[in-house]
Amino acid sequence: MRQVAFLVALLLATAAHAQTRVVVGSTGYFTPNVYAQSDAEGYVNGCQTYGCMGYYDYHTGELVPMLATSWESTDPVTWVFHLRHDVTWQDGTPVTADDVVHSHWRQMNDKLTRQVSNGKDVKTIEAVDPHTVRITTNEPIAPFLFAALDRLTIQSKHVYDQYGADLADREHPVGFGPYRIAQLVTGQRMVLEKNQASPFAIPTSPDQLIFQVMKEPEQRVTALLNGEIQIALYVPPHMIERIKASSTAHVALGTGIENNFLIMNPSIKPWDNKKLRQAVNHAIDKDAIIDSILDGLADRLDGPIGPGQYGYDPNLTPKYSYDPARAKALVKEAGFPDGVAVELYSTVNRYTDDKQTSEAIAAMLRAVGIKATLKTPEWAKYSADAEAGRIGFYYLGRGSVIDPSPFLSQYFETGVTTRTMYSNPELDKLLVQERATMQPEQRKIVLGRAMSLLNDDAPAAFLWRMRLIAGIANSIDFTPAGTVGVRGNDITFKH
Amino acid sequence: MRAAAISLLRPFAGQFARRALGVLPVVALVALLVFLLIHAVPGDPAELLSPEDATKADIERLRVQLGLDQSLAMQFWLFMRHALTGDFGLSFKYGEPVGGVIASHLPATLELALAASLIAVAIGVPLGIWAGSRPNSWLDNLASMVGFFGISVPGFWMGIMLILVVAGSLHWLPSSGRTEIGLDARAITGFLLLDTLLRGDAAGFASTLRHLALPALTLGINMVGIIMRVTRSAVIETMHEDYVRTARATGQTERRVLWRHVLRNALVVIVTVVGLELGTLLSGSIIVETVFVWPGTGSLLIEALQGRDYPLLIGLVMVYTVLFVLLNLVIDLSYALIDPRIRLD
Repeated sequence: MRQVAFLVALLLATAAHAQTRVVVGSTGYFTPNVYAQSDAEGYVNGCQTYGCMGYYDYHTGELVPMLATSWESTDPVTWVFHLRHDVTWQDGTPVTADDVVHSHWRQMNDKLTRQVSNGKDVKTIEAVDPHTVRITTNEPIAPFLFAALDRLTIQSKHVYDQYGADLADREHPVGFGPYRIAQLVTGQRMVLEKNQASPFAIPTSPDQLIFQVMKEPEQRVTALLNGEIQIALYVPPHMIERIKASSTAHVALGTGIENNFLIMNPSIKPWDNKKLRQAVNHAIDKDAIIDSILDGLADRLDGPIGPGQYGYDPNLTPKYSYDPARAKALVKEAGFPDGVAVELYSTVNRYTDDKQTSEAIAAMLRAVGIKATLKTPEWAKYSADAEAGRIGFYYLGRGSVIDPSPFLSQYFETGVTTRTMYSNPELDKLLVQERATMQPEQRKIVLGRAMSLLNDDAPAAFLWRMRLIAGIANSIDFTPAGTVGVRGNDITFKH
Repeated sequence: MRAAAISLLRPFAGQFARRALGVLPVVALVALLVFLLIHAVPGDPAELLSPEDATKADIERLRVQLGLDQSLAMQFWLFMRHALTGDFGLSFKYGEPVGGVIASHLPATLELALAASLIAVAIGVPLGIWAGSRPNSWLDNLASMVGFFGISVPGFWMGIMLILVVAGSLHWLPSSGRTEIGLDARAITGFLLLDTLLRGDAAGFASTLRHLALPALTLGINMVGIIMRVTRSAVIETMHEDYVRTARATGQTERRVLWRHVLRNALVVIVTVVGLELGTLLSGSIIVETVFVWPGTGSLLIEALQGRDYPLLIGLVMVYTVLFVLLNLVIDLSYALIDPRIRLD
């Protein structure tokens, strides 16, 4: 009897002290200066530690308020944000509009900043009163909210003023988010602990959230199956069976926002030929590749974007069906009765099964008279050549496609990058118009027109969107969505 | 006794200083070569570091921020000027001083290399003596086979096989990392075996040892073969020396002859090889660290190379160069300690 009582007491004592912990096997990297990184994971972690005005919820497709409770655009170039009154930094000081202004300043002027592109549209930013921020932009930018909310980590001005950038980041990482940074080893590990005083902390989330850099998928999956980690991000399709066979972990699939496509750079022959570009679109059997190579873990794209991405229209025309006969005819019409030799560049292990899918694509192209030979240079050379517009026909993925505006501009607007060397005054006009259209329904119509034009002119063959695959321990619930970032608040424990 | 030791070491101090100074031009030349080489390799750090939504203007801005818009000569001049004060700049990727990034990874590699050489010496030397004292016996043949295997088998293959069998099928040892993830990994010295001992953390020590076993064995296996073969031939050679015959004639036991007279004289060769091999271990660790996802300077070097992180890459090569040169220096100096007939000047 005494023993039972002792055991019960012991159990109660452990329960009272039980700290819930989740370890994430991550591919990201961690540095003390949040403005010195610009990967999706960095923004998520900046927001859940220091804090942000709001963030994009990939599960619902909505912008979620955080420090800002509401916002409005008073005219096409002016935005006003209203901040919560009850939020304080970890040291007890209230969070004010001055902190937001300071954070924008640091984003633009930090000597290591990699985030200038987020704030470059801002013309003025001012604290109207301690809880109101007014921002004006250089020109009307409809998708501006995403950059202002999701892509700006808010840091405290007074900590910065007292210690300076370096010491503040390393020794005094004071935030208002649901987690605080307990330990950070550059490039290796970050330990977060719940900031109980934060109004954004919730009881169901883990008390401790550890990000451990594990670059190899094999390492992440093995660690998951050994119980060392609870979330293994970026699991390649061929490792799924191992997780499914285990009794301790399961596979969670999420919609990805990385769109994969083939670029056909019109400044390099024979890709100046529109009919040939269209032939490529008809020659590829995307469904077959998705089924047989990608194990069904990708969704076909019939245009630049797919379901869930802003402005998606299932009825967009023209569409390219898999039609090898039509493709063959187009190759002939393009002026290549005996076929044409081209080089197809593919990455290796940069995107899921990229080389395997490219091999299949090359075979399908050869079947219609486009004699494609596969080239697979090292990524550093590949990306430099792609960026400079030196290669004509190549496979690429573009992540973070939520609102397609930045993606379409980056790849297809004249002069923005040299990746495609594509230039079409008609498209340029539509893209400018789309950004200046604040009314969502009208804007979607303009976006639709731009994407329809792209489909027809075909400077790219849009292929598919990979699903996000994560291995999850059975003790928790978590579904990846959109990015590889993990918000502690999205994790729940099963009892 | 102490005075004697000091007087014995005194000539080395001056020697060491003089030789160490001679290292500087070597290091500077290596710096120049590496600098030119990495700039000749295709790839654009600004482009690689930029997020995938970066526009041309964004990439250009980053290029200026990293100082890559300046001429190559100017970049080298700036690099050398700062390097002379010990400042190797900031890592492109991490935005942290290169020295710090390397310092946080170096103990892992040194711990691995030391463990590997310990394994190699502990197996290779006794095996070599054993084989060399019974040349052409079946024991010698067996030992030689082990040696050949050690020399011939490539590290990456050995590593993958060990992971497959020992970690994968048998589940005896972990396949990657330095310690279990949940355990306290704060660095005191950075040498985890030492740190866990200092903290009195038995579980951590055991975990570290288990994680160290496979990579150290993989890294050490080549060295086992080489040390075994060198020891064997040195022992065979020494066995035929006059003083060994004389020692035997005085009626000493064979064991005493072997350990006191033969081994001591064979040691010069063995130490040289161990020293040289330590250098090889450092470069071998680049492959082994990649296979076992060991967070040391080897995997850091690969990462810096793939990401064209110029400052980090140059810093790492400099560290490797200095370690290599210092190692050779220490070997040279140690000859005189082992064999007083060798004079340093």
